[in-house]
Amino acid sequence: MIPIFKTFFRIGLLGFGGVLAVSRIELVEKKRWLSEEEFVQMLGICNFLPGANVVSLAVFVGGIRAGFLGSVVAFLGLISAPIAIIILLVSSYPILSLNPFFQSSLSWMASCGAGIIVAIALRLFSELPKFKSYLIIVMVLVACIAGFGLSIIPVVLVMTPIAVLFEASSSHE
Amino acid sequence: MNDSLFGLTTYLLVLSLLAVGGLNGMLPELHRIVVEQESWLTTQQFSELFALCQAAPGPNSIFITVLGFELGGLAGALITTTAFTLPAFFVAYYAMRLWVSMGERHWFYVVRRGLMPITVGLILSSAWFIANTTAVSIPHLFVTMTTASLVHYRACSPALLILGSGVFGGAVEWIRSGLPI
Repeated sequence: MIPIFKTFFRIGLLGFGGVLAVSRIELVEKKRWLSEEEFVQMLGICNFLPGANVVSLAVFVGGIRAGFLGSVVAFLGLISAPIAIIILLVSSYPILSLNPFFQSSLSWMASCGAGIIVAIALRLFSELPKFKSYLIIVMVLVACIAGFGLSIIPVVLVMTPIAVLFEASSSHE
Repeated sequence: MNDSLFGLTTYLLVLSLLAVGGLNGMLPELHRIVVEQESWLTTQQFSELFALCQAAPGPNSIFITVLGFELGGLAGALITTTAFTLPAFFVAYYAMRLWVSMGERHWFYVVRRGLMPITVGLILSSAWFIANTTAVSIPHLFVTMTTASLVHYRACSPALLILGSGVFGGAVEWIRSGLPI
């Protein structure tokens, strides 16, 4: 139980700009609780569940390792540090927002957090099996969402059945 | 519990089950209720608080915690957070049980693999968005790119990099304002 709590506590604490990138570093690279493929597949399922996908991922990983209590511990570990930090920040916001040092630190930390996400996104992409159908699907998604600024939900709803059909009809194993 | 907090809580219990893809997709709807319909916050407060949640560590659904805190202090924060996370928690828990019981059944394996390029495409798009919004100046963009290559090629610890850029940000401001002591 304690390793589960500690791992997810770290993920929450370090998750600047979203906890996805740090989740991958902790769960796949450091702890090796998930293989690369499991991580992407599990996250894929969690994207279709309500709520934040990384919170669902914590419930999955905690539950698989230690049952219901594991899910609870992973969930609490993940959200406790961010909640404490955000409440401190919000309650001191009227003072802090006037402090140029704080503002400057926060903006550079956000840029650094963005860099971590870029690195993890590229790594996930480079580890995706190099099938032509996969590359086409990734390119269509990025073009629609990042390029044309289309709303995520309709794009995903259209592309997912296509992706699963591609997978079912192709022979790659 | 005051009326606005009660209203928000009942609303969040429903929203929790609808917020597929996280809070981001629900943001326009949340803005409609909180700002336009009920006037609990002004548009400026809403976007300032959301920006703060983006900059702070953690999933950005902690914005819900902040809304509860603004409406009803610590108790409010606890209530809205629970309302928004509890239904989703149980959905995830039972989905996990399903995942385990499906095991390696062929159709489930096909679905899981079919989802892989979708997930990677979504993550690449959100990386693009986040890098865009945080790049408020060329040096900021440079920090993003340097961090990305340090993490990618050197496996640097994210904790150290974030701490380092926080200190760096303070130092930049200190120099910019003429080195006061």
